[in-house]
Amino acid sequence: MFNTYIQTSEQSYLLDYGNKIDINTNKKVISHFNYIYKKKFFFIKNITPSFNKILIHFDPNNKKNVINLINKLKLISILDDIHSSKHIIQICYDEEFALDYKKIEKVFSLTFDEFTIKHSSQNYHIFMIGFMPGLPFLGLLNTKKLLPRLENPRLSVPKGSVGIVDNLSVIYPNDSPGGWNIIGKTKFKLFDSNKNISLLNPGDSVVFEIVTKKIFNKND
Amino acid sequence: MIKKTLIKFLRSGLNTSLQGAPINNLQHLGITTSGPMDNFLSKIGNISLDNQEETLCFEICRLGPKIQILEGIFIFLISGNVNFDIISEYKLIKGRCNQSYTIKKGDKIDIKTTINSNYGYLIFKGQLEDKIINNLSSSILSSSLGVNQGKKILDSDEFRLSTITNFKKRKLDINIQKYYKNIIRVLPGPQMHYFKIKNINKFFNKKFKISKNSNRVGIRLLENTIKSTLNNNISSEGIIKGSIQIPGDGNPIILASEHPTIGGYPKIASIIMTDFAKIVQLEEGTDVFFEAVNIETAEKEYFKLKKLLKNLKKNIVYLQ
Repeated sequence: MFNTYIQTSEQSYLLDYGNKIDINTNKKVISHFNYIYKKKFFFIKNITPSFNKILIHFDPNNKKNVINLINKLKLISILDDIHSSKHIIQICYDEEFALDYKKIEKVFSLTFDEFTIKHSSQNYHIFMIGFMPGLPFLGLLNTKKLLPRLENPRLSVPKGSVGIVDNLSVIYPNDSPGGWNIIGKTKFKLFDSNKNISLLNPGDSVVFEIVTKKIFNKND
Repeated sequence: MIKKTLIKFLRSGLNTSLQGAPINNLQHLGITTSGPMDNFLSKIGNISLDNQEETLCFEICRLGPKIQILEGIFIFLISGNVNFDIISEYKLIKGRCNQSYTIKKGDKIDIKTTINSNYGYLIFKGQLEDKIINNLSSSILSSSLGVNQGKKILDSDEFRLSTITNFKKRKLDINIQKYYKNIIRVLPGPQMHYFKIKNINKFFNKKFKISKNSNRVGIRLLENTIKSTLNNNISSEGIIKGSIQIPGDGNPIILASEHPTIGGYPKIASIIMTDFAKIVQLEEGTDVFFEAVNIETAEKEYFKLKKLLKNLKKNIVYLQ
């Protein structure tokens, strides 16, 4: 089901499912990820799905097992096995939190209110979780115009900020440096550090629900 | 016989932390592997004390901590090239690395600095109390997760542990220096084709310098910029420790123990596992060179190191 694969080091293989960043390609990635993850193979240290690739990090003592697994995966397509939960995430698009609303208006030739309706009226697919614990990559925003990264990334983006670049959205699980255009803020808990679990998973879907600043501030 | 020990950090040191086995099976949630930067030193230290290879130990980064024993006895060994003293009843004993010491209530260990290196390891006998340990096996300082809640050691921190008292004093007879050098072997990275031959040759033929902006997340290199010709960005994909990313400014970043789980810069090369411990020890301003090898060599070196660790106990000399 993947197109190609390469051994990138003595402890890793990279499986490539195609050049496009689209939901169908990512669903192939996630179905294989789910298959491998659920089997809990003793020889796999980590398996990291991304838009169109899977990185298999393995113990070099068991290379033969990994090769057998890859050969098996070539033949398996298990697209219907994607576990997909739907999450409703409240977002406040108030200008206090939407640090880059002026840029959004300019690039999309919309008022920011029009943009927020557009952003909150579609489903988002979670392509992957990563970079830092619990950070989801959501897409694809239904737009032809792509929003570039900030030229000068911020030294600190507040926790819960929702950012967009190109046609992707992310939510910052913690205060951190970042170059994404910030359009709003959520109080949705992305990561439970007591249990070390992400509340969202690759393959899940997300809908943003608009809340006013008054309600947002009340929900403390 | 098991006794209780209590130790206190009178001084925390620059960036002391508890590190054990790498964290596995959570990278898909954005949780990095973490673990010791120099896992050769942490492993040989643990083996010397008859611990499991990846038992929790204190990682010391350049400026070390000062520790006092408040209760019980403390059996320890310092793995690496580290300048330290033991202060016992007004006597000052010059500490020797790779040799075990048993010290008692009131005694202190003053770990001053690492010598010609960045990391050393305080290995100890006994198990830390449960509240320090959670279901992750190391501390992740960059995201405040894991052992000791992912915090670096702070001044006045106290740790309680069980100590085994029937222990033979020993030293490890090994010349550590011969395992360290500044020529680092690498495999081709998954995006090596993003770079022109001219730039790939420059990567291998010209030296880099270690930047002062290096830490547990990444080691930055300077003075030999490598530009990608195809694109400065790729679709973000899973990454592992030892990968060498080239961002837009051309100064390479080597992904270290607390690397992000996915990355969007092209990767020109990957350091072989056995050489990762070598590059983390190169100090700021040191020259470093890369040498290309193939996967067969990387695998051979991995199994050679595994054999060395398996046979390491032969190098333990018991002392009176």
